[in-house]
Amino acid sequence: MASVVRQDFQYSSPSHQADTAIAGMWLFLATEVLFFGGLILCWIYSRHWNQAGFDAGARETKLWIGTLNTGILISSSFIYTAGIAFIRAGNMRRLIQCCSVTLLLGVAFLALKFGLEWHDDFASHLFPAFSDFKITGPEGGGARLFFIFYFISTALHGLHMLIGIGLLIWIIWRARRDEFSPLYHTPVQVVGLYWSFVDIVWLTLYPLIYLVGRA
Amino acid sequence: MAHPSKENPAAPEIWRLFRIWLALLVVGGAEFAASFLPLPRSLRPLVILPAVLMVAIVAIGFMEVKRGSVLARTFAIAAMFWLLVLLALGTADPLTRTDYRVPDAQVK
Repeated sequence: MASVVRQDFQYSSPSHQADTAIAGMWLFLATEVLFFGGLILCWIYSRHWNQAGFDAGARETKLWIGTLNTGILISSSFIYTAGIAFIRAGNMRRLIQCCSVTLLLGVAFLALKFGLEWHDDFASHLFPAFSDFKITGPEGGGARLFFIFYFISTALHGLHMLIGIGLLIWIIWRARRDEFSPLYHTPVQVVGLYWSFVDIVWLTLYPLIYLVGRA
Repeated sequence: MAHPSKENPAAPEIWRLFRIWLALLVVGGAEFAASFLPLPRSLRPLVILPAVLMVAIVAIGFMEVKRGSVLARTFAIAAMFWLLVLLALGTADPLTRTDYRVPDAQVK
């Protein structure tokens, strides 16, 4: 375990380097907020003009999968942050365990979302580009718009999850090489910020997709 | 017998995180229940309000935005400000526009 931490030449101290890395991640997340903010704006704008169609689309979503996935992501953020607390206390074994459980929860989320829910959506003719789209009549156009939002937003979120899973594997690999210590664990913190942000994005998408239109 | 926090120095922090996790589950449950309220269609977006609280809980509890450097906090606040500008300006037109019905006689 690294007992002495040295900063790179451009920093005045190790804590200065850590603060800079964490601030850099926050700046990146600020750009991500605007990226997903555009999607939310699309939802507000499209739903405003197509409320009945959006609600018809929302009623076709699998509420139990969305709700279970919300619980999974909340729990994964909790467990990963617990891992940070453990490495602050010098417990590397617990950090690896927490990261591994977080990884499994992330994989479970993706399996439910893409292996089960998307598969079911395609089988139910809910992909908006299908000519035999399930919802027809006056609500058909709005419902297609809803499912365009649904597929694009969940695909983008899933892509972020995949990147997060890759980062978790990287953290586990480095932790197994004993590269972190109570004095140096900045990458663990930075990846934790990213993972919690992916959680936040889902907490926002969950009501937009599953709850608002369910009357 | 030693105090738990002496056996495991991370215990107080884990307990704090556990309470945050519980709070998130409670607010999430309230959000889920609220979605079954018989609200008019135009008021249903209010169901999102608990999600806003959950986002704040994650940002403060798990991401520890308050413990970050001044620069990190500035970026976090700036993100919220820019998001507010984006959503406020982007929705100003559809949410304030008045639509007038075209008389049936003029509809071809």
